[in-house]
Amino acid sequence: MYVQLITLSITLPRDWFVNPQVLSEFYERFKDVPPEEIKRFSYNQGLALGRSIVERLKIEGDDGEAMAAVLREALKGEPTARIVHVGKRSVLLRNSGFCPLMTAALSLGLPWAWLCEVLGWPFFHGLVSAVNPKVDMKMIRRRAKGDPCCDHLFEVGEGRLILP
Amino acid sequence: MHLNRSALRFRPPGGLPSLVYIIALPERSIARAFSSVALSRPSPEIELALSFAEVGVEGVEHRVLLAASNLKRGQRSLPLEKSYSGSASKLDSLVAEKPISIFTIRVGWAHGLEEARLLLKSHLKDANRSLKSLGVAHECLLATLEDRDSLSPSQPLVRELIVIPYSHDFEEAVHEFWRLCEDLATLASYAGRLYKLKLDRNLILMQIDSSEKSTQMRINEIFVDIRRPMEELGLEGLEGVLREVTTLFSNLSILASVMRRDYVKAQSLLRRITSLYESLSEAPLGHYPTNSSVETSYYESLVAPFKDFIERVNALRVQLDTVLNAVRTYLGIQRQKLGIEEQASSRDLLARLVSLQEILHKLEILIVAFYITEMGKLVFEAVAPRESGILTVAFIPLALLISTAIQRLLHRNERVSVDRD
Repeated sequence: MYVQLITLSITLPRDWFVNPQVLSEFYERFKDVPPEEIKRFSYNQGLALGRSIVERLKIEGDDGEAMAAVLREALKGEPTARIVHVGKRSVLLRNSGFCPLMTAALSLGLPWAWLCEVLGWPFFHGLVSAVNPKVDMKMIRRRAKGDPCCDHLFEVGEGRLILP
Repeated sequence: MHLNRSALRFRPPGGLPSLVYIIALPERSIARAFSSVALSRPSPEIELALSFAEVGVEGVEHRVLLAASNLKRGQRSLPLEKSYSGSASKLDSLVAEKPISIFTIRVGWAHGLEEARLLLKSHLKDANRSLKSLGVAHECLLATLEDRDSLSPSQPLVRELIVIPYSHDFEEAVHEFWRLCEDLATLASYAGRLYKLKLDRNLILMQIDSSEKSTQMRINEIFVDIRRPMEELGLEGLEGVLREVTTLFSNLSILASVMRRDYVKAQSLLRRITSLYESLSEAPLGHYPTNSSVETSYYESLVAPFKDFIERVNALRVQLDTVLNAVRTYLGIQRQKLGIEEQASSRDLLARLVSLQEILHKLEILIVAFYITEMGKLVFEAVAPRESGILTVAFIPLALLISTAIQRLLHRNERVSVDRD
């Protein structure tokens, strides 16, 4: 338990998804940890960043606009990410182009799909949950599965991460 | 192409089998897979042999499991499908790791090429199978069967072959057969590695169409951004563009370099495969394409996407380089503009200062002339009190002249001291 607490104490920098060094360290530290635990860690990292953004930008409300504001700020400067729809209670985030996670995974020989599953998706779910803890994240399309882009649908629901 | 024959250590089972299984394994899993094979035999009628071949760009020694069943003194017929399916599954269960390729060889024996052709023809009819390619190598008829199903992404590379040695001398037929088998075992290893490499990168290679399109769109948007006036774009906007371009550029550079590494590996394997087929000196037979031509073009098709990917990513990189150059030029022009504006405003300021100085000089002359006139007035009042008014008025032009002379003298001295400085 003690070892686990130390292992889980690392903090991800904001640019983790384009930072091969961070991804490499993440893999080394978490490769033998059960996926559910890593997902929880990643979710909490996203949540912490989301909360800091909410506080700094003084984002109010828990609707689609508020979710989109957090995502825009977190993904500032990331050319592959774009918010394509903002609804009253939902946001659709699309990642197209060459996936930075895929690039890093390829260059370091890391498992791409694993990184998406235990790091990428829970992190973004946590990020948006800072606005509304009941938000569901549904992965409609995934590049790691062969789709042309990744579509993340954030919708107010029960706070679940859904992979159809 | 250099093929390290001395590294091949192959111990063929004696006689001519009716079936041979060649199973190539990924190099990391060899120890585990082969320890279980060494401990137990799949069944009494199956003989195992291990083929060691030097494979890959890293020079890793790579092993291939070769199992031969129904070793008899040669059969002049080909085995029926049902006679070996059980052995194949037993072998599968023996190999702990997932193979990268499985080559199954059905073996017959004929006295002469014509008899071999007839044997093949009747087998194809009985088994209801068709041929993909056919040829003659090492005094053996070598045929590849059409694939039963299309390969699923998780499957290893599968090949079903028919080999019929047609030498009249049985010992010669056995020798030629195992010589060909050794080449096929090496081929299974090279081909399996190439296939695995392509399989591992398939998802990434598949990304090229959509990712290229969206990156291209983004580049176009950036170009539009740069074309906006400086006041609209602002320094913050320019900084954002630079950050974005740098991120894209670094991503593409990483992708291109990793894919180039894989492409080099794939090309090396392809060269080895091509060289192996060349060494077979396969001759065509009938109207079928040779195994060498069909297989070589298939393996070339596995390598081509790597090259395509690199070229397309590099084309995007060139465009991003153009964007960076445009940003640099844009910044240069803006700096030049600012310089010209600054120059123009300083010239105006200088002109204003010069005219101000001229006014001051004139004012100086008037003030000095005034003081000289006042002093003259005092002198005239003392010397000729009655005519002092007229004398003072008459003295004014002289005072102005004196004042101008003093001013010039003083400023000449000033200029001299400035020049000295």
